[in-house]
Amino acid sequence: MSIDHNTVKKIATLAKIRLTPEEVQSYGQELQQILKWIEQLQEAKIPNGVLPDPSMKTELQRRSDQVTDGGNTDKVLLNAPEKAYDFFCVPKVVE
Amino acid sequence: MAETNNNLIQGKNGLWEIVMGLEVHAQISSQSKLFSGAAADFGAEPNTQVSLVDAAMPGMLPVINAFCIEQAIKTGLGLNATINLKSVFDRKNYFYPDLPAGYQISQYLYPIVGSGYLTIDLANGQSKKIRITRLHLEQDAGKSIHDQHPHKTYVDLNRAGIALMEIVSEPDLRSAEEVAAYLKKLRMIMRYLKTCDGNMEEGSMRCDINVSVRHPGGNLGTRCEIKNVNSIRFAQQAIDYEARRQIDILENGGTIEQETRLFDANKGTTRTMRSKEHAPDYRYFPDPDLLPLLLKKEEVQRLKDTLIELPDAKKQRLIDQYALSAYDATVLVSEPEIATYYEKLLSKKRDPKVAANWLIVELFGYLNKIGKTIVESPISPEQLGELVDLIGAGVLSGKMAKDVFVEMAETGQAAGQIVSKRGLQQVTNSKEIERIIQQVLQSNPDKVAEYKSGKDKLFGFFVGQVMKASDGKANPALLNELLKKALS
Repeated sequence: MSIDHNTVKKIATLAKIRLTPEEVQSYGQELQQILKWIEQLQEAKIPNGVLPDPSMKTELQRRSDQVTDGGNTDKVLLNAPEKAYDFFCVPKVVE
Repeated sequence: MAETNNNLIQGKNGLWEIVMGLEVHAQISSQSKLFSGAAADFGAEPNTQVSLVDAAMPGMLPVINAFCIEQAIKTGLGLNATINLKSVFDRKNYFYPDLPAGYQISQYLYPIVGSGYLTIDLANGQSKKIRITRLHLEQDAGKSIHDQHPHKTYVDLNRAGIALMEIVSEPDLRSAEEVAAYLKKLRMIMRYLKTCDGNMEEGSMRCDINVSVRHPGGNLGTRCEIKNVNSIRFAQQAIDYEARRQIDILENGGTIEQETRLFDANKGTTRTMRSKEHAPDYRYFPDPDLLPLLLKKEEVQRLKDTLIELPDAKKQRLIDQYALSAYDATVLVSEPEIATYYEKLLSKKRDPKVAANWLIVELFGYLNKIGKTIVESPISPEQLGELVDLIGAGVLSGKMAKDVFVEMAETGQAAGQIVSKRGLQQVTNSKEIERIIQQVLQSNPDKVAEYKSGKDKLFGFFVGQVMKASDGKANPALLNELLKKALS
């Protein structure tokens, strides 16, 4: 599978990222390398497609319905580029 | 096979039929979120109910809420649906500021609940089966607030990660009325099961409507999806507008473009949100953080065994057991709390029809007037039951009972107390009533003469006079009978 420039532009649109022509070129090459690596991984022979890890759980772990978290407003907002009144603050996304 | 549809729309060149399917998002009534331990209740201060899982901090792992799984199964059972013993969580990828992870955990190819149906009741007394395609579990997104700043959007992640059930119907709906009936029935079922409170104002139940039009019997037309419909009334407005818009385009030789449209509640219109070319490519794939959800048959059976009687079954039972009219039964099952109130009223042997009337006409009328719900009723089922008993025993006439009812509602006193305090005992003693009748006739000799010469209408005048003289306490049936005798 190869990544052409149109695919890169489409992904950029979906991600709402504006790319210069040079960036389309360079990201295209990077993505191509990632795909190549995945293809290389797929060449590895794994019996039945399952890793032979006996410790692997096969059932989804469930928790009970209890409030055990929250009240972390400061931590939650720590990485926000901008905040106001304890909200995340982003450029307006609708007209 | 052509189905009959009484909701066709007359166009310029022939009749049109609206075809609709619904996607309803119903918030599960749980304490905590689907994959995190943050609280899930409505109305908290911004970003106070957010775990680092919901904020998508690197390395945080989702752990599923067992209660939410059960609620999805119960709802599925309430919709007569198959429960899939194996389902899978997928990542649905898209970019939006209120989705910090850049993906929503949802279910795509393997939902927890498969096909089912619900039955809607229509105004003409008929009912119709609407097929359900699936129900799956997914996370809600955060809330974007666009109107607080001229250039900024504020984001609150309290809602991010709350458990939703997405319930998808087949395109079986043919009119705004059917859509309204579907939403009401779905909400009713979930309220009975206590899986979702169905509060559309608070956003705990939201719906997207897929609308297309066609000539009856023709192929399905291209559909448009209407988003942001947050009340039943808006759903009806949106459908009326959208169907008319599509018909106008087609009748003027145009074609419908498949697109997502937004309902504008202020204008009552729909407008383009995004076209098909800009439709997102969600790139679904199984979430590597979550193993498949496996259910045991016994687990599903255990939930099935605890299911309470649902509205359709309850309605039928009320009709069969108490000989109620379909109308009365429909009103009584419309909310689980009303049905409970009614059944408490009948926990002692009472006339079911009289009890239903007092509940539906008097109590609802009063609650409406004071703007309260049945749960906040100032009159308990036991108190209303006592009043019904006093009518049944002939102590109170219907009219006297209405006065007592108002006093009960306003003072919280028991009916018996009010009756003895106000000396309201109905007069059922014939001798006493005859005595009053004689008094009235003697003091109105001219009216008696007129009546006897054929002016029948005066009968009502005598009834009124006797009633007045008895302070409204004369038993009306007895009074009528004795008065007729006295005047003959």
